[in-house]
Amino acid sequence: MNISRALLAGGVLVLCATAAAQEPEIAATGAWIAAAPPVAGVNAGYLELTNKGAQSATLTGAESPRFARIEMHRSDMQNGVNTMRRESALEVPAGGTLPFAPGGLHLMLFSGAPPPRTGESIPLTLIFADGVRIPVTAEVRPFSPGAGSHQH
Amino acid sequence: MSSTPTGRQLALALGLAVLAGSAGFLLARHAAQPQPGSIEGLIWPDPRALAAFSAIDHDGGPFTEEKLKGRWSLLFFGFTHCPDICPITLSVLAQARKGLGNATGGAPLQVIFVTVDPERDQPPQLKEYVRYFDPEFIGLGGTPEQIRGLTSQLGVAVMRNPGTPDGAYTVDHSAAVFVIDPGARFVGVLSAPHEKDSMTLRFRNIAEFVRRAES
Ligand SMILES: [Cu+2]
Repeated sequence: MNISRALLAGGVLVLCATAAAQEPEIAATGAWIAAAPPVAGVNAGYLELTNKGAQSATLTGAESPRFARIEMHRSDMQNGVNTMRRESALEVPAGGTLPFAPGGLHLMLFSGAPPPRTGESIPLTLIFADGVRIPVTAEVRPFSPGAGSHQH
Repeated sequence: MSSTPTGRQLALALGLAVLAGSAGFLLARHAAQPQPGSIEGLIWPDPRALAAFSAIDHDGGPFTEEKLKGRWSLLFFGFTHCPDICPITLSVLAQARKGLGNATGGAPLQVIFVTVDPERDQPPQLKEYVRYFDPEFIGLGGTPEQIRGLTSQLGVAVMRNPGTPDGAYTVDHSAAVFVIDPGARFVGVLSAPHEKDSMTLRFRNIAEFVRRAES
């Protein structure tokens, strides 16, 4: 009885370990928030997601106690016209990366209260389709002079 | 047999020398002034003078084409609820403006942010927004018709997107910066992506070409 229990427990542990190995291993690095005029009411957040696992992961949103709402947006340039569209889900491919960078993807951070201040560190939680939640800390800093140079 | 030049021969030689000198001077001047086609963003020849328009500046006062005269202007169109391209461009313009004082031959340079979302971007909102980037920047608003008076003649694309249920919406808009010379003529376009050094160089080339062509 004790032995079978131990075996059972061991089996469960092995199962858990196997499941964990197959789950995506996502790292979020370089998170920052662009400082903006408080009157804008919105800020853009940037970071890079890296998936070291063997399965793709799907980012479905983010939240933060500092913002009323967070959406995922993609800025783009078509024939010289700047567009911005909401994305409901973004894939981080297995073994690949998903960059959020000025001029491209950004976390659209609405109604920061109080407005984010340069130098402040702000907690964000990234939410994935499988329920995984990854906390990150983003520092607020101004757009650097060359910040627009890496748009396509 | 030696001959001494006559007065007439001397005059002819002198005349030829003067002609050659002028030709050389003209050639040198021509060579130093680059071809308009080689200057990125330059609109030349026959740049269009802006037609009359009226808008409202960020202090609530009138702003017409008269306020473009006697100075260089860089115009950018956007809206204050834009999180990405607008603040990037205004940050680059703020940086670039500091290095452009000598490109204009002493004429002032003004940077103007024109809202494509005039209903939400009222003058006080515009003022707070533009001055965050540079206290010298000018914000322009007005009625939608007044804004169209400016966007239509510069070919600025503006498309408002359907909003979300809570009323939030975005506006697609041209990302270029428009160059207006002291004669209130539309002489150049600085296309995106915007970066300080390339913007500075392109503006400098356009301004120097126009100034030399006019001198
Ligand atoms: Cu956005």
